[in-house]
Amino acid sequence: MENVGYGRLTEIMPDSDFVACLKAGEDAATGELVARYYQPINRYLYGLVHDSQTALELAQETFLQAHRALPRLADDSNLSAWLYRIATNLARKHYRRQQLIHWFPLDYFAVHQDGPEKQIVEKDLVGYALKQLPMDQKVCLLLQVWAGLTCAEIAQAVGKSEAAVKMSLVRARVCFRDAYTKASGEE
Amino acid sequence: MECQRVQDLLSLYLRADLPAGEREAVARHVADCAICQHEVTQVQRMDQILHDYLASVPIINRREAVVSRVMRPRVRLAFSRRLVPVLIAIGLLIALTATALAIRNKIIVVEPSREVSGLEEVVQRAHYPLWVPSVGKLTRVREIEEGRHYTVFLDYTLDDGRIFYVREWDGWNLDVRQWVASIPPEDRDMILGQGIDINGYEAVLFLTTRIRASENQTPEPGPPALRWNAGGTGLELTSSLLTAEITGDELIRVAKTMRKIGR
Repeated sequence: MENVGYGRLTEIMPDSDFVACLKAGEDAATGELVARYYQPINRYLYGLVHDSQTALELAQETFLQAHRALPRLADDSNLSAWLYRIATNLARKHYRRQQLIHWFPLDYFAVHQDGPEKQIVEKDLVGYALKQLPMDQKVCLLLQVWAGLTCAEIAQAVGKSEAAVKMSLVRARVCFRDAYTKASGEE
Repeated sequence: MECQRVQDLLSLYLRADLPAGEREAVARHVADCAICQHEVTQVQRMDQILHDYLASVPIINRREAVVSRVMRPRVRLAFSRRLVPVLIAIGLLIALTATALAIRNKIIVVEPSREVSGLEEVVQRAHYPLWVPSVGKLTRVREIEEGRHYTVFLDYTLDDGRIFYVREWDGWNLDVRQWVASIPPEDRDMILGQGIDINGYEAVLFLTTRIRASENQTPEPGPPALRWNAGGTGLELTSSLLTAEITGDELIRVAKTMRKIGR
């Protein structure tokens, strides 16, 4: 098959036809799938695991599992929600296997707040605040803010009711905002 | 609609992810409520901060490698399947060995007679002068993660070599930052650091320097050398007694305090 290049299939093909191409095993469609979702999935996983190498490995595994599961995927499936669900399950498995503790110096934030590294510290603050969230809340928040999924799609991706997802989102936002404002000294 | 209800729905409202009725009710309320209007800007700000963070995190870009791996998944799958019986056999072997070792060491489980709710109680029970000698010598402290909780096991060895282990249960709710701030500055070199684990627990490791110095030393009788008020709770965490019978590395584990953050 002619190499049409990443991105072109996206412009000319609706989601359902794209799924059909994927299921037919077309190489260009596979390349397009990765091109379309690799970065968002990788960054989403980073938000969950806070480590580039782990995010990379989980992103690779996400696409491998997705490729294997393609024959069982309905043509009218929400491709994005489906991929995020696979990535979320992999991140959860990773969490269950590992005990991760991220250490900060005691006065880290106080010392660096006014320094030239302000931009770096800002990132650390967000990462720090994100780490305060329990896994379930973090998943819901990132699926909403980063993946752009609706409440119904998040519920489908995490296997919970919409009411439970709404509650998780409310709690996640309170927890994230509290942690961020406290760490940044805004309160 | 009340402000709290509206604020709970704002993130969905801003994404047009609400049913028409609720969306209109939220819109009406926000139009007339300065507090909720401010809240809208806060939700948007936090979303932007989070989005910008994820858009700039240092991910490793191996897209082409991922494509090539996805193209040849069957080889890897076949290899994985061949490994399954081998892995099962190894798992069985490990389980049998662990069981045999446990029987040989005559481990006796002693469940606490009541719920233990905090580090301070773990510490007090471990060093309560009348209780510890009646059980045995504290020889090991183990910490095992169980989901969102940590279980601390205190192992006591009797003269005849039998081992009792007492299962203790964490659940303390100290304000770690406040507690750390209460430690005199001259003692701060003993604090290794603090951090957040994956389940949202805040942890503090402390006492490293002096613990290492006191390894293999017999503790002196008398009151503990160090006493810290725990987060203004009035409870004192004592440390020197902790060093009595266990090594530095093991002490680092028992010296870890954790609390759940958030709601």
